[in-house]
Amino acid sequence: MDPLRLSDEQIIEVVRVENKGLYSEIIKRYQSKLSHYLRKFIYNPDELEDVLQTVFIKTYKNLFSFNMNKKFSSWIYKIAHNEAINYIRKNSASHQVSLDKVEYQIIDKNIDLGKNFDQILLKKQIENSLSQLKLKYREPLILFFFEQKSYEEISDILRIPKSTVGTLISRGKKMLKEKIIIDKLYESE
Amino acid sequence: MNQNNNTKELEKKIMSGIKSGKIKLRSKYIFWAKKLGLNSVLSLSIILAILFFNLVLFYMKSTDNLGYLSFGKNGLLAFLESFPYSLIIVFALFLLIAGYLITKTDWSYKKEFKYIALILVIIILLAGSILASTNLSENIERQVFLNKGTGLFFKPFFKRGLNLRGSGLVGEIYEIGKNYLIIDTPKGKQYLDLSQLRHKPLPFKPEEGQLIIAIGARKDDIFTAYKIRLTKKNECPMIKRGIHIFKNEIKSPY
Repeated sequence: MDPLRLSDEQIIEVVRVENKGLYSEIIKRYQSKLSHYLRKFIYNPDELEDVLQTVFIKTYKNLFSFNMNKKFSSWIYKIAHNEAINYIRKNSASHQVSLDKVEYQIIDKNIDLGKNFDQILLKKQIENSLSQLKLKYREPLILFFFEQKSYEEISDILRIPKSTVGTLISRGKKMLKEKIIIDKLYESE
Repeated sequence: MNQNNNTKELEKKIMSGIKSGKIKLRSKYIFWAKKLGLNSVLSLSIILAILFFNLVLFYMKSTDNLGYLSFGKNGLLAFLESFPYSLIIVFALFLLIAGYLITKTDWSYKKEFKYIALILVIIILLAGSILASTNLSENIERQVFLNKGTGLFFKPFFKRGLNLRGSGLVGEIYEIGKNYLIIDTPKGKQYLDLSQLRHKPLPFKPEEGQLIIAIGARKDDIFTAYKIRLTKKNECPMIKRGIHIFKNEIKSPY
């Protein structure tokens, strides 16, 4: 049996009943994806690794609670999301979101700020504004733009209706744009 | 390179925990039991919310509570005094518990809570109203009077229906005097002073055995009526049954 040919759900089925060792394939598939996602909430690399480890352990322990009719990726992202929220609650100090070049370009393209911005400063402003955005809006924006999740998947991860996902993303984008423009105005004064 | 090493290390750490048995899969029975427990508590909360809503309706229908509103704003105080607060609080509590638990089940998965809550409230109110047309509440009331079975649990909620009020009085005319009536109530005989009536003479000719409802003020054992009217047995059946219970002349339905 070649694990690379199996879907996540098929691997889970095997791990549950016969071969626990196959769980390593799940870790391989999701480690960098989840690490990328969690980095938007947890900035200390050591703490991030601890949280990531907790996510994989919790996922493994609770494999029997996973509904095989649903998508495994949404389920593991949901666990990661819960752990990120727990981390934020415990470490209430605000953190600075750090974007890589591709992510910054995605946001720049999507919120359409025009060409009146200094591109280097803009990256910093987007990072600042994203950090200040309420978690309620920040989460779907991150999942949609950076994790390339569909509305359906975001709806699964955050357990909210699909229509609400759309509303939160659209409001989040608007708020982000307003924040960046206001910051820019203050700066120019 | 460094990230690759970290990736391998994390995988190794978790897999060695799994292989050594330090990290174990939780049994599927635990999840089944959890699901079953949650759904059972949810069902129980909904059933109790329905039952208590039914009892609220029964209380309002069979005690003097709504009767005081027929006196207009003057009867408001007596209405508030006889209002079934404890029944309403317990009903609201079960409704809230059911609402909270439903968010923890698959029923509400990815659905707007406001719609789920609305449907839940409609189901409870509808089922409670349907239940009110059965004789379940009367049976519970009978158990309360007989002091047995489920009656012991519901006694504190029903007791309020038969308590003496400071600004309202309901009972059967026992004796007729000049400017006073002796009224038989579930709490014994009460002196009803008619000297302060706002509208004289009495709007009816008093006869022994008639059921009256009055608003006014109580001072010690004397209740001074400001307004009074006749009422019917079926308007305050709990009071009527209460009077006979205390007389040990249980006629109906006991």
